[in-house]
Amino acid sequence: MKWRTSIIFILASLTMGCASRDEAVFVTSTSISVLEGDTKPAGLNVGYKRVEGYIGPNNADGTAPPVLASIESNSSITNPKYRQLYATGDAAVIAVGGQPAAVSTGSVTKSDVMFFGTSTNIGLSIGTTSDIPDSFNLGYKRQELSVIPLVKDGDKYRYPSVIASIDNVTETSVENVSLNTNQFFASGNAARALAPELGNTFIERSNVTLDAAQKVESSSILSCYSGIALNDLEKVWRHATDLNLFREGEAELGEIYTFLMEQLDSAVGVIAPTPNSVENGGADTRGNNSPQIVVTNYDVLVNANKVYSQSVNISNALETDRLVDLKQHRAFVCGLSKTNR
Amino acid sequence: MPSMTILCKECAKKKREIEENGAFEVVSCKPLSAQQNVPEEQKKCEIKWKIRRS
Repeated sequence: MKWRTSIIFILASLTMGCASRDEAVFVTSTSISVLEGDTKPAGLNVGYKRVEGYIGPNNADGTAPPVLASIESNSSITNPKYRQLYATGDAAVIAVGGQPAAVSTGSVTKSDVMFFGTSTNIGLSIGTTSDIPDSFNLGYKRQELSVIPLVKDGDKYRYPSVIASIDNVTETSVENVSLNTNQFFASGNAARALAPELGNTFIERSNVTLDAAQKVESSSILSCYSGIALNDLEKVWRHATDLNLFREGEAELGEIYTFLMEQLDSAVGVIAPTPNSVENGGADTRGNNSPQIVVTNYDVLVNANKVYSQSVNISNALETDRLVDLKQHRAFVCGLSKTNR
Repeated sequence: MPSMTILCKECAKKKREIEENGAFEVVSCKPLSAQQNVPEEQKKCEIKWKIRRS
């Protein structure tokens, strides 16, 4: 009975949903639907819809109790593929490869009711109240909710572990039977034990995502870099140095820039206006009477370009801030490239 | 000398990536200190490289 799960969520939200001072509410709701409608509140949804929320106290030192919610989906409403992970407390920390904080040895004796639930619908779901249909969903819909009393432990809160996941992307096979929807649901030590396994998939895919995003940015940069004029290369290299895209330590910051400039100096030469341009009053056929910079040693310039492009191109998923720097550099290089056209 | 922190299990892969176009040469890939309690899979290393001068 689909309406039962909905009622559990509604009851939990109503009775426990307003987080008290020592209580954390963490909720996600995902819908990838051909059509979804509800009368309470009235609304109609087609496609992808996701809501995530956390309300609860923070620690005295300003840090927040750990929660984790992740979704990966192809956003197809006719054949949705999805992976979701939901975790709190130590399970959330372990799932992203972190080390849970040590628990103090002081005894904490507080016991209270906690709620943790998930609701998943794949296919057609019709909800009714008093035999009258008042909601329906065709597609994939999942809700995850926990209302967990936190326990004060020194100046921090202990957030009990819960973990829930669903995955219809990774196929598993048990004795020649192929399964394509895997779900896990656990709390306490079971959640902690599951976290490394479920988290590895999460880390792998978030690393792959971040790595790929950096690669996309760097290929855009290099595409624009090919249109940079010789006398603008210095600006590009300086900008990359300022953002430390060359990954130099503080002591040697600027060494690669210096190397590149040395290469540039030995790769180019300046030629004076040609006799023809002198005859034209110092101007060449395009009316330009300034000395021209030309490449005299292509090999050296190619080598410099290799150093720059490879520095930009090396991705690293552990460097989470690098994507922002790459975007900034891309805007600079592509902007400069356009002015050269 | 350029360097970055990576997962130790990726040392060989990153070395290949860094040296790919011939501009750089990897000098070392060593584990960071104080990782005794870290699972092998999650241990981090610092990889260093330098410009290959011809």
